[in-house]
Amino acid sequence: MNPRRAAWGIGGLAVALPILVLAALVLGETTVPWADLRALVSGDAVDAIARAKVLDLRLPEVLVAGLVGGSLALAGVLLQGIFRNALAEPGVLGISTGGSFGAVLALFTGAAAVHVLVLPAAAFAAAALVAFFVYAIGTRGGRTQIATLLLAGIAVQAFVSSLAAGVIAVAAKRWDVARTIVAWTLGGLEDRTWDHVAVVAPSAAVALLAAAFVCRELNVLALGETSARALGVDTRALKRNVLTIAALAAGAAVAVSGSIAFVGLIVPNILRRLVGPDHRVLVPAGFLGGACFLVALDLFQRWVVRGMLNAPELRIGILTGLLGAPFFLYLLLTQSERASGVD
Amino acid sequence: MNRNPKLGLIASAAAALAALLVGIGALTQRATPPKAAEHATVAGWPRVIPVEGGTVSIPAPPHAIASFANAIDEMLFDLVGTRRVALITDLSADPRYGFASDRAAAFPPERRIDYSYGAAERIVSLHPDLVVTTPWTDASTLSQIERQGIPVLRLDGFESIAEIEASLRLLGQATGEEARSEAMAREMETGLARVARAVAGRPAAPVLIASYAGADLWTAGTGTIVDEIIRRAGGENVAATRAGIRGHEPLTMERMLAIQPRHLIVSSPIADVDQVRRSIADRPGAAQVPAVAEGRVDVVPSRVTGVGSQYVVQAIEEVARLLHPDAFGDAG
Repeated sequence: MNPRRAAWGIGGLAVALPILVLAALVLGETTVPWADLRALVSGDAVDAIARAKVLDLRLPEVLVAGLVGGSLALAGVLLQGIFRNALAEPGVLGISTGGSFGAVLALFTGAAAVHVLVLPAAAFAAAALVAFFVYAIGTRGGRTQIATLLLAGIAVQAFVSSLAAGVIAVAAKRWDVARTIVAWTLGGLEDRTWDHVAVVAPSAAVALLAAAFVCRELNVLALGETSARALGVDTRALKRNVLTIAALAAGAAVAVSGSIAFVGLIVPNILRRLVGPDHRVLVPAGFLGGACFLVALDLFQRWVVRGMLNAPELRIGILTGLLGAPFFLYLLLTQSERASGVD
Repeated sequence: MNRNPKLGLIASAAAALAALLVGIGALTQRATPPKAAEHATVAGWPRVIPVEGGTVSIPAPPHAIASFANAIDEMLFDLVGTRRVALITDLSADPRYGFASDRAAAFPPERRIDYSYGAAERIVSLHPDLVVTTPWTDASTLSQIERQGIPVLRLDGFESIAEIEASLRLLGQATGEEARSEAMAREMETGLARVARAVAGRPAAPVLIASYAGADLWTAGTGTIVDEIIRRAGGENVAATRAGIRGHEPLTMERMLAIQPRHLIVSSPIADVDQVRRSIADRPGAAQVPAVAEGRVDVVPSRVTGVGSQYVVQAIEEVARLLHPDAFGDAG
């Protein structure tokens, strides 16, 4: 670990996050004057609409963005560590697919309209169920086989995706229901409430705290499973714990935001280049980086895409894919060029 | 017992075959559409109907028409009656989405389809003599149907009253019911004039129409039937005038705060009106939306904003009664 790089990395992200949050509170489809924001902070009288805009709408949305981004990136860091593969991300456990299926069911049956928390509860329950199922298949006699787990994840995802597609196909004739389902599956952060913050914040906090306890063992595991065992790491327990933490973080994130692709893949990969592979640095940096990434993207979506370009259909899940995939390919190509010595 | 095992086998096979034949018979019976007209020569037929990108030749007045859209079902019911309709869309039988759901519900399930993908075999087996479609009907399904020599008429417009009237007239031409389609178009104009008279002289009532199906909200601006419904009902579509929305767009609460509607009409498939009202009122920032704060949130079924047939007049009147309740006096 290069302590200087690590300090700069974490420090930079810790400074960037509040700046982005402030910008996201002020900027959007319409701008909230700084004076109103100052008045809100100092407790002075402020226009009721500006107050509602900042405190009821933007603040919970920005907090959800930060917590979701942080949770997804944290899950990505942990899964890449346990799989020892930079391509691992929360999707491998079928969490996003499971969450989407739960949400689709809640919307299709009309249960989502009963209370604002029904949809995230259904999404979280389905995500957890799918993750547990994949884990159970990949684990025999207490030992988790990574290859089996990955393949089980692919198969279960395909199955659950088909179930969700079947429900969407049945719902398709009800145009307004279908539109809502499709919009949710594309991922979004609009109109998130304090209830959503309450869903994702405890999971994120618990996951972050628990992750701190596995960092050292993940570093040792990077040497290989045999070496890790020789150095006293209980790899079975480590796998179980890491998968549980990742499922908790990503499941809660998916439950409140829908499927937001690539955050758990890209952010850890970028940060590994910036701060190095030490999980003691990578875990907090990943959380902060994921939070910065999604808060920035949410700001971009509200301010530029919705406000300037008037293209609200470009939801945040689409943006992460559009921005994330080319960037990831760039990383992949430069990495392979470096590895093969191409100038 | 000294029974020949072969006899048992043969008996079983015969029973299975009988069951199969009975099943096929039952299926065939259920799938039998109204009799298509014999192709005797009828004056004025065959006729060639001009459509976008070509023409459609219809040999004789169709008596077994298959429809691929809710709006087309509703047009056909009033134009030719249900007896000449072989196939409708399942959605029409749902009162939340269809204005003629009672008549649609009388169609047996095998003469209703959810959507057209992969439905060619089923449609062809019903022996329709005309298939009426929309621009969004699956092209490969239509191609399969056309290959069987069944004429396919594509109706292009459902997003304005002018388009609906044009579609109605085209359908009248294709079914040999020109006079009836003209009469229906005149009835539409009469109904529109009745609403226009009722709301005449009143200032346009600003209103925001949102669609809600359990999660996010959507609204409609210019270029949509919703916009025309509001204007014809004596309203001002604030989604278009205050937010510049064109087409259908997601409606965030922040946008609703910017629009500041004093009257909100929510179209929803959810039957529990109070539940829909609550789900709007519980949204963050909703207290700052005048319509919510002042309790002016009305809920209408999805069919009001999803209409694409002559029943648009009914939808307009429904909205007009919400915008100008005193304009209709005892009639309402």
